[in-house]
Amino acid sequence: MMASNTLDSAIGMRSPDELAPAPLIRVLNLQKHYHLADGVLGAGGKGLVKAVDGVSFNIRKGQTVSLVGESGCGKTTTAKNVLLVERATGGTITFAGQDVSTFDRLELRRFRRSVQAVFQDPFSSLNPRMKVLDIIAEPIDVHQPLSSMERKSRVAELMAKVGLGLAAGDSYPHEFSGGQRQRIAIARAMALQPELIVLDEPVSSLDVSVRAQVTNLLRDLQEETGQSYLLIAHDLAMVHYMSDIICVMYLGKIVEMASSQELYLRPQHPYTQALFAAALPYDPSQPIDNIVLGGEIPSPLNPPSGCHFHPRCPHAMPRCKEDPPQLQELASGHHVACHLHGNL
Amino acid sequence: MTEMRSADHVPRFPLGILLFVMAIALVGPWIVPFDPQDGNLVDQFIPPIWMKGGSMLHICGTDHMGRDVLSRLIAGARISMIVGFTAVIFSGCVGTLVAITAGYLGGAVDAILMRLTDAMMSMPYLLIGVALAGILGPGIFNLVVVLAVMGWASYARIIRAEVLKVKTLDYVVIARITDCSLARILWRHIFPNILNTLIVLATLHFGTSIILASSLSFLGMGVSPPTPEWGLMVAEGREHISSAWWLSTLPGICILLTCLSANLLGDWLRRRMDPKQRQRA
Amino acid sequence: MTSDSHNSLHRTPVLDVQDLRTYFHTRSGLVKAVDGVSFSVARGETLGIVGESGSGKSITALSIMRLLPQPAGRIAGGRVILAGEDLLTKSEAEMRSIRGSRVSMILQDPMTSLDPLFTIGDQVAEPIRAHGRASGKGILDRAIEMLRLVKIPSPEARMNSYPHEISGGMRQRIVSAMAIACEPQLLIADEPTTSLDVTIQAQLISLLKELQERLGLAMIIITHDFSVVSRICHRVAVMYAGRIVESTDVQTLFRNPQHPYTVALLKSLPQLGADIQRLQTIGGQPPDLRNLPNGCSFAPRCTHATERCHQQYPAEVMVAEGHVVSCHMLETSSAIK
Repeated sequence: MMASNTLDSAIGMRSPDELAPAPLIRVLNLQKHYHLADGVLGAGGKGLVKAVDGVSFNIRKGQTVSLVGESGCGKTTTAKNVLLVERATGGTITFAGQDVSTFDRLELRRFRRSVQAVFQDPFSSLNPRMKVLDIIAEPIDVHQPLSSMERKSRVAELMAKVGLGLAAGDSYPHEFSGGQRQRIAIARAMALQPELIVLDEPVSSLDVSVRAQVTNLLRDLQEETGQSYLLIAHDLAMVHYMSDIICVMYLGKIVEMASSQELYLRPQHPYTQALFAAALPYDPSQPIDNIVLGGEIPSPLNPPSGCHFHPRCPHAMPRCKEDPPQLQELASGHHVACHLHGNL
Repeated sequence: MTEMRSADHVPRFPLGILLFVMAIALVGPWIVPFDPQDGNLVDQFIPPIWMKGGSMLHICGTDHMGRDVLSRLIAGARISMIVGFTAVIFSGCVGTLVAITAGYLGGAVDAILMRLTDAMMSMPYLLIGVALAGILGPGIFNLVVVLAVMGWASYARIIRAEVLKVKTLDYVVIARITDCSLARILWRHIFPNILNTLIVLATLHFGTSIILASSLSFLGMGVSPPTPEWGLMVAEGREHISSAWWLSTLPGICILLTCLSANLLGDWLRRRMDPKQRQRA
Repeated sequence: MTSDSHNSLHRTPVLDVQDLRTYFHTRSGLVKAVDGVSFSVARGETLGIVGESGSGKSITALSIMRLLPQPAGRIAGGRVILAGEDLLTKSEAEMRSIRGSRVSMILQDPMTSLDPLFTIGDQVAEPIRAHGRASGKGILDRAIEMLRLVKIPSPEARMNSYPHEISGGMRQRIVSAMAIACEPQLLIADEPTTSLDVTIQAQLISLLKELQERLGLAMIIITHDFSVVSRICHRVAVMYAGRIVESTDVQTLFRNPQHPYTVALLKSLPQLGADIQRLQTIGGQPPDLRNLPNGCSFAPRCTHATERCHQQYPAEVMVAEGHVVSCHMLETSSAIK
């Protein structure tokens, strides 16, 4: 993190726009729609899923931006689009000032060197048939092949950084525990000194006692290298601990976005409040705002009209059913999409 | 938690039989007591050694042309092994190529290749075999071609399913994010991870090939006389089944044992390669 | 080993587990999945069993229900006393009549807990019919009543739906309905919220609490999630490598944990609002159950471990009323914090 959360609040909230000049990644009104195939040969086209429906945020150098939300909110789809694993239906993604859709082959290659990923499942993110040494070295082999000696020493350096001994290089993934495999995945992601690493639920599949190790490791590495993170997670406590900026998503849209500490202290959107309420502090004697949301998470196939959240919202007004609220900046750097706040 | 099971060791008998047959096939020409193709009519229908009238000279007896049955069985082993291996290698290569291409590329390529595969699989295989053999004519090479053409479709179908599974795994997605070339992804990430399935299929197909080759020869569509192929021997011995039963039965037993051993070995391999590695963090 | 020290005051336990041992005979050796576990649960009380994978918490539940994978899993000792009767001495036929009617279970994965081929109505009716709680039309009425109890909207219509038409959260409620359909004395829930979204988790926890209050259930919640524990449990037992290392009431667990594992675990979890600069980690890896160390299983990872800890497994120490810990350090009554 560029500065700890407490430091931020101590010196007064600085808007992210006042920090470094141009953001590393700029996502503007990103949209990703899926057509559900139907009929013979998939030509029927029944049903449109707006998995991501107008999402905008920036990631600056050295920052951790998190996307939080529940099933169907579109956070994973957003991450895939940022990684250019999928092509967006609408909106723009800018990397280092350039629109990614204008990339030529060379520019795309450069992007791929700079943007890497660590995924959730430590068991399917490593090729079981490759030695750990080769797994970590693969980005190097593809982008800047080194001599055998240099390659080995570079991998040794990476393994040391993530806390693995060099001997591990000759072993295969199945000989390691989940926590160790995530370290291998992190070493691989860092092989080419990327500017941004997308972390998709990096610790949720790990045993509880191992999570702190990997979480701390990610933070330490960020301090050392200044790499940015796009963190996708559902554990609010972990997100709060790791992030500079948190974007709360619901059914394809960002409903609230603020710095980590600001969001915790002053959540404005009713959904954010419910999320925080559900992510209880562990001491049961502390007073809890007992908000239990009724209703189900709607299907992205058939989202409610107006504000998607209105059927479950304890503060819903008639307007909410008709009129989808826009994301507005309330306080410096704190954006909310809710009719309770601001006026359109 | 793993279930307790009496330890699933390598099935020794099937493996032993297969290795034995392969060994025979290798050294066959040097150990045959007699020329498999040459016979003296005077010596016809000598029964095997354990029967009345049998002799040490012809342990398995002689056939209607006076040829030594044991020598023919040994020579037949060579033919079966050659046919089995080459059919498996060809079918395996073609099938895997189709599967990886269709499975990984998807879209129109997948659709076309799979319709082709479906077409192959929906045809009654023996009929196709007979038709092809009829067109190409007899002979070992043609027999292998027929078997290869008939066999690739089931590889394609099954391996494509594996490819579809593998290509969605995280490590393949990461390979794409790392900008690995298509060739690298197919060769280093996809192929090694479908290899297990391929090996199992190949082993089972080996047994099937031998049966198919024998069936085709039996029907007169494979190799032709006087080549000592097991299936052909069964066919030739039909007329004499009541008097010289060993002419059909002994080669029949050879086919049975070889194919059964291949199947048992393949089954064991499949069990062995089931994803058991489910470790926890 | 008696469990008097674990009892809540003035309540006779519905379930009393005494020195339960469950071992697995695998190709790679003997796995002592549960190795001397004792606890009790009273009517209207919720016990949380907390631990990570390999701690033995799920196997404990399966042992109580006598649903261990055969033939590998075997209960090697102990007693499981449900309202005065030892379940471990029952025949399979007797257990069948107990499961679903006197003891029920909710499992983790809502996607595979329901049979995709049968309607909701059929599945909720099944335990009712099987245990003879109603007959004829009464079965359907009771099933609808159960759905209403778990707050399924328009229950009559839902009776004819199929599982694939229903979300994960609702499925867990339906599974809950099936579990309480015969008014069991004990309900065991094995990671009931782990596969659910956070806001849906909150709903389910709220529901389980309400059901307990209404029906006076004794409940066991098995989980690795401390926030679930803090919300619904009265008492907690922390398991590590097949044994309970600490058990106490939920307030004390968070305010004054004593066992080094519990302390370290709680410190390693990020907490909202707390001003933490850095999470504290627990070194090492969770233990390999085939190869447990001599002495205390946590010793290899424990920052306070002494020579004795590596040699001898600690006896249980009653630190306070209702608070029992297995740790050598406490034998000399020196607290950790």
